[in-house]
Amino acid sequence: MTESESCREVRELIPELAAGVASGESRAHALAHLAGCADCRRELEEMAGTVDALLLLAPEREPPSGFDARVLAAIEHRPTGHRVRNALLIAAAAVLVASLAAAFTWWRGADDREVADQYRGVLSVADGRYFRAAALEDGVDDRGHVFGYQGRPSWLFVTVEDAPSGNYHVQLIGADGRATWIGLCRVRDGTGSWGTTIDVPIRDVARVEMTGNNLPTLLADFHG
Amino acid sequence: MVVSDESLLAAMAGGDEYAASAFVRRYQSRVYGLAMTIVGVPALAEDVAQDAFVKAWRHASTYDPRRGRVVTWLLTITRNAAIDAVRYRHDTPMDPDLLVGLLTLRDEGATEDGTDDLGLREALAELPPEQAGPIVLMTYGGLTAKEIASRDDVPLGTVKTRVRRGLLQLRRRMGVRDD
Repeated sequence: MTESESCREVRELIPELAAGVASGESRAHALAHLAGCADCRRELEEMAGTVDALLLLAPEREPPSGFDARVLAAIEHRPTGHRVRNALLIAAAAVLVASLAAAFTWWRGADDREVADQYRGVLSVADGRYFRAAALEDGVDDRGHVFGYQGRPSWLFVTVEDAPSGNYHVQLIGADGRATWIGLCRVRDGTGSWGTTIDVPIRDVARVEMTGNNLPTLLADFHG
Repeated sequence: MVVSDESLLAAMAGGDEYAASAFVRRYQSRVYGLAMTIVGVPALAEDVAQDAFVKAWRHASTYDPRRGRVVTWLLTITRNAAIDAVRYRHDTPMDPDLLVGLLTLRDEGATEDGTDDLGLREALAELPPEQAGPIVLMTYGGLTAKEIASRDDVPLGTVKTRVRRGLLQLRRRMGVRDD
């Protein structure tokens, strides 16, 4: 197919892309072409601008009285964790991990009920349901931990201690055996920490694997 | 001094209630007006408009000014929420000729913020109905070209060509006014 034929085909799809109604298949096909065609990208930008402008033509109407107060009430009744989740997720994860570590340490001297209360308190911070931890091992020694938090959103947090320094690719291995690359954890002077949100339930995470050039494979087994 | 939309949105994302209140008041007539235009039922339009503001608040931290103005971002959220509501109720989208008529009426009470484009309004009015109809069905009704072709019993290629030609014509008439 010549370039002009390819452009013609994609330009037929551009109105639907601009209006946000294109099917996933059309979108994927068009995006592959758009990545390398500045002319088609320009047309998409222009059409998207036109669609945006069309929405501004809708006549304005005053909503029923008290509308603004109802919106603000709806916002206020949302858990404030939403904002934390968006902006400070990793910091929150680190705090939770630290809290859990403190709870487990304190366990030795406290009764079970107090520990359970502490655990529930930690989970309530981000609508969590449960929390798991697995040792991160290089096949011989422990090199840190991976913490899995089931909540909204769910997340994984990795702490590495006393491991060779370098950039480790972090892969999530699902219960179905499928591997998904989820990010990069930098280890400096033997230590590092890193976290991310994940779309799959923690119970569906079988393992977390960390690999890198000339680095040992670190493995945390959640079903072990 | 008027606080910019971007500043209000940023403050809202940071949990500032006054900013959230100012943001809602600034755009409630636009958001509710668009919701009414698409769903046509006041109680449902209010639910849609409220949902749109809550979604805007939840996603305020992800707003990227390089990808468009705050008002168009907010109206796109509103449009999507309204289309979802129409689909959920299995309602049929508004008659496209009526919708074009509504959109091309000069809105005397419109906000004087420079976002209204008289040239675009006139250009839409002047488009042949076979181009304007599919354009509003797609942009306001969320219909794909295939759905429009099936609805109007017109070949798919014809619908795509009409929508594209119509949008290009509107674009020419809008002139260069992108921020």
